[in-house]
Amino acid sequence: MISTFAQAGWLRYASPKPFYRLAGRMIPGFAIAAILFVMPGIQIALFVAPTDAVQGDVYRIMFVHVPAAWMSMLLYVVMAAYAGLGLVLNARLSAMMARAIAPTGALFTALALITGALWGRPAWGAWWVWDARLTSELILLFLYLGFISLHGAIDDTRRADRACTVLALAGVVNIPVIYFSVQWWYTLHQGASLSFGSGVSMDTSMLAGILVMTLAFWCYAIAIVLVRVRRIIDEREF
Amino acid sequence: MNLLNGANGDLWYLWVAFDITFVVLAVEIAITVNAGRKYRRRERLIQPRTRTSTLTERP
Repeated sequence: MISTFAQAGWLRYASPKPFYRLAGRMIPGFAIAAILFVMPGIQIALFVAPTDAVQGDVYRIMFVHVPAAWMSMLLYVVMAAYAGLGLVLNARLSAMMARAIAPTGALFTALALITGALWGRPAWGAWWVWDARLTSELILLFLYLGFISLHGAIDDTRRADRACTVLALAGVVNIPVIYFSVQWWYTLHQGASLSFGSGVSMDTSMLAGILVMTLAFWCYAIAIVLVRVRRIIDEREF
Repeated sequence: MNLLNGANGDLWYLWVAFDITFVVLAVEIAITVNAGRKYRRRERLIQPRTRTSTLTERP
């Protein structure tokens, strides 16, 4: 596997300096893609998707809430994977990528919690309940903030990378808890919007809106993480 | 095409959720891009580039 990558010349991008140039070339593409996805995403979310029979139009918060929640979990897994790779392979860029992902992951987690509260108030009559899904998502925010704070608190960056890796890997256990919490416990939060087992139980335009907004957030996250990792490479390598 | 005129429930929550989301993402872009620019400007003035790039950390 590694030799295949090496033959293709991709392994050199595991080194910060070549990756710095590659990231610089990739940022405009992902930024433009994010804009191109977010425009039809908003169009579908606000004007194309039908009004919900029970909740009215307020359910449209789903089009930012669900993609933000998905991104919060996905980014944590990617961050932990990079951190783990950095520990196992002793690769510098992996630790830098993990550090670059953390603030964006924290932001998406905060957005998922805030938009969830704004949806919960009209739907449940409460901004917040200590339900398994909400509480595990809040723990995810604390894990991100812990990762960022721990890195900032240790002066030696290599020690900071190792300490943060341990925290990131330990926190991975929270991701299946978030995802399956609505199945494992009786919660006020609704079931998964998209389930691999039971398929999709929503209108096609609603599903399209969620997927397009997710793609937009995905491209946005890649672009902003690449901008941030270039600054980290600037700090640590040059 | 939906009109979103408030006839189907309170839209205040919807607008606040969308506004917060996109304002927060715009602020993140501004802070991240500006931090990179500031750093490069400062470093160009005071530090020569010395370290060569290697794949792994030095022992």
